[in-house]
Amino acid sequence: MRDHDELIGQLCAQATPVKRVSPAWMRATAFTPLMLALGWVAATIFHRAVTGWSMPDAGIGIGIGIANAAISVLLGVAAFLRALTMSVPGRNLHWRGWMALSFAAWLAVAFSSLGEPVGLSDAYREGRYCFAFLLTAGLPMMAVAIAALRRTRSLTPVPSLATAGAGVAFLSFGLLAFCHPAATTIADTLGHLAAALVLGVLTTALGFKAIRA
Amino acid sequence: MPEELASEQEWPGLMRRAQDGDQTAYGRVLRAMLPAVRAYARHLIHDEALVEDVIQDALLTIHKLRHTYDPARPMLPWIAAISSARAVDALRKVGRSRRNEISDEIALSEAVDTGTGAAIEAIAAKSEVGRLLGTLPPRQRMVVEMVKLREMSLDDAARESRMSVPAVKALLHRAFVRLRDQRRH
Repeated sequence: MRDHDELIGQLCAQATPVKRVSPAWMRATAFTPLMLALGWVAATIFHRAVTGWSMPDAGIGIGIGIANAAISVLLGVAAFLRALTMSVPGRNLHWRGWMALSFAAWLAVAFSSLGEPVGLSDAYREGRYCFAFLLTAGLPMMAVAIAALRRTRSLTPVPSLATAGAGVAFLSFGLLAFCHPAATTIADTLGHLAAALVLGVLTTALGFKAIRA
Repeated sequence: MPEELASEQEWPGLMRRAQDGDQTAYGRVLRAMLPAVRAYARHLIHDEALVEDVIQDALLTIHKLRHTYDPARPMLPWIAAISSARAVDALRKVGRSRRNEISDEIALSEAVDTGTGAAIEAIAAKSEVGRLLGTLPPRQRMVVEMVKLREMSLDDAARESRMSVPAVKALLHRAFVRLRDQRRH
């Protein structure tokens, strides 16, 4: 057995006071409004004079839109909170079951709004608009998420970042729900999912070195 | 007389003081947690030298992440997560270097065979193998017999001798240097 006293001595000599990290829920509460605000500001690039809920096909879509926004933000906050928690050694939130349930509800809402949108451009119908919106809103949120995770770093950076990426994607969905027509196309819905995947992969790739412990 | 290790119940309090900059408390808690770190590393790794490397890595990580420990919580899960993560990293590194060693192994055997392989054959012709092997320390003699006489691979020799491949290589190298010296004199 090696004598580790020398290393312990060196570590003790470098042991300056450190600021303990706040509980994950406090950090999530502080960072989520910032993320949403920055995402909203970035998304104003795509701001439209008329939101989806006041469009001719709104009707029952108002309910779907509100449900979509609520579930998206809820899932986004939950995923971000889980990412912050699991980045602390020895901690995790065992929320897989109900997060899967919420995701299923989100998918159900997304697919229940499939229909024939009225008076929309090809960019909307083909999902290009939403794809660009989600990435534009998601990028600043991604930067905040990585900065938040960098405070604790992570022994398991890939799962932490992938979960944070999912949080960013759902928060972006939440913002998108406020300026999206009630009815949508299958291509548009697939565009949403593709953007979420890109956000997850980008968050993982860009944050890996920054947060690896 | 060695200082008595702090009990597990004292660890959170000591770590809290360490987070506030108390170096004495930090030293006490690090020394006290060493057996736990070693136990978690041994749970995954059976090579003692590697376990000691993992302990060093784990201590460095504990130092780097000490601000993430919440003194209101038990400390063992925190230590377990760090130690296990570092042990897994070490196993991954060993796996990678083993894969790389396949080419090194070939290079080594070629390098050895051109000089010492021929030398050993010549020695055998003069019936000196036994005498020269007898001059080697037991562990060096064992690995030379395994790799050169029984023609075992480095991996097999390492497994049979319960040593790591680098340790077998090092013993082989030292044995060949000694054999060369024996022949010169």
